[in-house]
Amino acid sequence: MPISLQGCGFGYRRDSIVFTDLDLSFPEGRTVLLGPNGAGKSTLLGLAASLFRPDRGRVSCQGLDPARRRDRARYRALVGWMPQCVRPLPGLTVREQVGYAGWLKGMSRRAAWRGSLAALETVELGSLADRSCARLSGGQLRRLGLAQTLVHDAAVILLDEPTAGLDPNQRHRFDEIVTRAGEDRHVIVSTHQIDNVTETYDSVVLLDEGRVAYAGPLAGFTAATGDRGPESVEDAYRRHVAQEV
Amino acid sequence: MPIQRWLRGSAGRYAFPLMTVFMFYVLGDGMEVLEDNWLSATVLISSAGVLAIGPACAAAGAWEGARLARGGVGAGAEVRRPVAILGWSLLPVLGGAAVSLLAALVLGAFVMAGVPGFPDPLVLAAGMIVIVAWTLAGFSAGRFLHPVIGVPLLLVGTWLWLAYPVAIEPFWLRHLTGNNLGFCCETDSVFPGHALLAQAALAIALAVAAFLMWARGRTAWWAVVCVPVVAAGVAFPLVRDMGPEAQIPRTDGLVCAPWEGTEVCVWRERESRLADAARVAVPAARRLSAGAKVPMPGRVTEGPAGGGAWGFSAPPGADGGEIVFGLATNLLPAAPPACPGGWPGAGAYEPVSAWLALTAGAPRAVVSRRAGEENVRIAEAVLIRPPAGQVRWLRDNLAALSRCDVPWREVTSP
Repeated sequence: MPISLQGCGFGYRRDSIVFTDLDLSFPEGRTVLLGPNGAGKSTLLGLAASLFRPDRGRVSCQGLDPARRRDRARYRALVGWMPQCVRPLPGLTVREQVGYAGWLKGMSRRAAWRGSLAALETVELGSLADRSCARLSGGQLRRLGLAQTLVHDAAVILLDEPTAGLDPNQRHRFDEIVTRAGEDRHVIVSTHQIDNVTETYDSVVLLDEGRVAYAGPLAGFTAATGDRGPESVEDAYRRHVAQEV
Repeated sequence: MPIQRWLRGSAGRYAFPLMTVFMFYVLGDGMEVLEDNWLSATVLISSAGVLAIGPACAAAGAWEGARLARGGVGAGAEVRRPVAILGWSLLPVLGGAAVSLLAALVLGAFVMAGVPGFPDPLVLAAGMIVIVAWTLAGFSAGRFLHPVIGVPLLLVGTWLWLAYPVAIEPFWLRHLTGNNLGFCCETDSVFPGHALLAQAALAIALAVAAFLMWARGRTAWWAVVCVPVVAAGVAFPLVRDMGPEAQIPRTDGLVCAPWEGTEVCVWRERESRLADAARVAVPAARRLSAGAKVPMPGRVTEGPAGGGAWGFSAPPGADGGEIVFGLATNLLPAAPPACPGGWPGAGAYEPVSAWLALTAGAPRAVVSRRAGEENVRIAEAVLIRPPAGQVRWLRDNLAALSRCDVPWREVTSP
């Protein structure tokens, strides 16, 4: 399992509890994290990325618990994280920013610099390596963010709504890159875009009001129910969320 | 990433020339009036560095802090420790500061050519601590402030904190900022170690609070409050009773040699002048001893006098007459008495100075220039009287100089 959460409780404040007792093991391969606004998708990814520490319970990946000081650095090296908003570092070029991200993830400066070009080629930004980050378009910035998660060879990458706000062409291009990136690592993507889920992802985790409404293969998510045949992802999403409501 | 690429994007690249130019501007005239000792040069360079480089580094730190915040660095998923991220970001800024200080030291070395000694490492270290602390403070502020606000705020705010306490009271405030050693040190003075300690303690507290604020965010508010308060609690008692200047009399660093039965001591920076000074000072002491009917001192020294030792000074450029005048007037009380309602002995100071200097053998022209022609004439009127009368006149007026109930007398009867 790439990342699992056992009995996790988390709230931003006492009156803003997001999870009370969350048990979840993310499936292997490419997983899409779905759920309505406020379901806790970003918080869940934040816990998985070790941005937040659970109030109780445990997060782990390959036996490493980021709450333990001795595991934290190794855990974070295993997990790549791309936030909703990828922001350029003023004064740096595209390659410098990716190299810096690699250094932040524990790589040596030399290794990060070397790896940055390969990561940029993977996300099809190699030709813009020497351009200032501040001059990238929205779609290019998302790919830059993805390159930052790929540069240090993470075992799991977490992408928080990476295609929000992108036009259909950019979204399609990004999904293709995610598909390729997921060939040799686990990818967990939170999104509201469900039109191309079947082509890109192997598994689905559906969150609703801080609870796991579904976690498993995509086929099971859209499987036939009763006398009806297989559903579309959108119908299955509506059915699962409605049941929970 | 190659270092040169990191330097290219750093605020240090822009701050370095500005801080260097401003520092040499602040150094400016100070270099021309340096004392003949390395401590004064070190203090001048350190103080100019703190005043010029500190605000520039704080502003550059604010820019770097804001840059990382805008880039989402420090959000929490990094493997690198906060101190490594911070250090790597501020390395170009602080490297520039160190190079600027080094350039000033090289200039100082040219100005101080021939003066024995070295820059004082403690003073330089304290100056660097203050600069680092303000750089960290700027970096931490940059996490929360937009650079349009943070950069000018840190630039001006730091400069005000470093520059203005010297111009206001209470005095202790100026000894905490890290800039007031600028008044130190003549060759016979040194800075008080506790003033340096107070400055360093406050600067270290500022650095620690700033680092915690940056690394842990608003959850570290307790540290931002408590650490400087504790440091101020340590530093304040150290400087509470200090006057406006951070200097105390020097007690070590003398070079001594016997000369005609008297030990003569000069500061080690003036060792090359020892023989010349002794050739003038020892005969003068002998004449003064005979004229004033006081025992010949066992030691004539630029260091602390008293206990059978007479003080004198042989700074560069002083001729024999000046040295003799200094030796003679060192017999006067060091400080006036605190007299409520006026000091009736105040008028004795210049005539007694003149008499002592003339008795010691100082040229009349020197005495006239230093004590005034009118006082020389009073002294000469005393000098034509019998020796016993002169001694009585001297003792009466020395009493007037140290007590509140004895008026001074221009000429006494034989």
